[in-house]
Amino acid sequence: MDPTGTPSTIVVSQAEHTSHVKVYLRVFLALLLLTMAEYFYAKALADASAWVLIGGLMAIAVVKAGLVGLFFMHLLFEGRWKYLVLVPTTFLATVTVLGLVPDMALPPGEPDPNPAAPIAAAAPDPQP
Amino acid sequence: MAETPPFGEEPTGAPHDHAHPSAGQAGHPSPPPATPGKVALWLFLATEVMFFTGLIGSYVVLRAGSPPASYSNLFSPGTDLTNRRDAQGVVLVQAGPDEEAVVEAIHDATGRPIDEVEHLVETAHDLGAAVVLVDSPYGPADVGDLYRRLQALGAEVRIDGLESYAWPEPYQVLVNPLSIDLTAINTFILICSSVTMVLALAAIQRGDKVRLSLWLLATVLIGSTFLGIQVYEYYQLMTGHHYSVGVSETGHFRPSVSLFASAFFTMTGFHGAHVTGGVIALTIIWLRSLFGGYTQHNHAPVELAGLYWHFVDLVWIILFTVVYLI
Repeated sequence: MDPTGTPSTIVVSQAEHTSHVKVYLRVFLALLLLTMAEYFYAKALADASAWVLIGGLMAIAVVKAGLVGLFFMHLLFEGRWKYLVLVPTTFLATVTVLGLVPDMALPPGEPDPNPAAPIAAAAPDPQP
Repeated sequence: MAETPPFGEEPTGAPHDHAHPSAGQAGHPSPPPATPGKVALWLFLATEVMFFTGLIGSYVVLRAGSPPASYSNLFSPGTDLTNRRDAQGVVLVQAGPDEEAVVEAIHDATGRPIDEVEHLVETAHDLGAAVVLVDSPYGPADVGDLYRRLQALGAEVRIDGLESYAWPEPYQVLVNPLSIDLTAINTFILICSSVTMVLALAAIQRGDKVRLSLWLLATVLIGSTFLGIQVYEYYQLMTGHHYSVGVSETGHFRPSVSLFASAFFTMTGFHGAHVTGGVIALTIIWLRSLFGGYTQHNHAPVELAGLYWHFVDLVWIILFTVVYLI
């Protein structure tokens, strides 16, 4: 325990330990199967449309990352304080990526749909 | 008054004179404690999330903004393809029974050094294909003659026209040298290390010091294996293989050869540095565990190092998808 009375580490009973280990091994099996699914999905749909390929693979990756976070990093079992860290981080990370959408959606060479006005007229030639 | 714990330790607690809330009713376990160390580590991980978000965001912009014909199967990255639309190249798929004669024939036709051609033929064998000769307005060459000579020697060979890409796509071996098979195995290895790490924590939570040390050792060894495979991958990319011209003009995949290469090495390199830091931390914790440094009631460093290790695994899951598979 720390001076405020909060235990610094967790002690578990034998029964709890066995159930934890079972959960960890199930998550491991799920991660293994999802990795294989990802591998074969990418191989089989390599020529599919970008939405199918990217959407499917990212969905699998997010599920895998979620399993690691929720079970191995114990986020599923933590108190509400976790939201103080996770919500701002997730929000900022999402905004950062969404802020890049114009760069992703406008390939080079495609005209800007809202062109800005010219900044300044061309300067007159200097006197000879 | 409790004593201040040594640096790196969680407070161990001492008799105190105030009451604190109940730890929860039997059958309704309360959440684990939000210790200062754990909260601090999560705040650190939050900064790491932003760091990797920055890297992945930059990668996405570079990739989405790459001009349509930045990469091609017959020319090095960044070559202007405007007047090269009719170019053709001889693609070696398999050297066949007489590899020496095939190497000699390619050497005669291209004038490239023998050892370079040997490397190229070897890479074609490993990856599935390599361009060995290109005919273009700026470099006329008799691709038909080399094609017939290689066929006569029993080699599997074909003539390809120009194909261009905005970015090297997975499984396009003539422009993308990354081995998805090897990295999929490495991903599986890193996931295994996360399991051994969580089992180490579960062991010490039960007070089992022997299993704590064994699972920590397993984690260190598996993590080192991941790093070893990454070093091997880097070696093959930068020196070991001689890739087709579409990958790099020099035949080696190094950070300077293309935007794809530089983005790849930046992202996987930073991740590898994180894994290295984790392996070092876990080795120290493992050594300390051998001398009984952790108990059922005092094992915060194991938990904190575990959180970091799982985070590194989580980042790799995303990087593997974004860099290798998409």
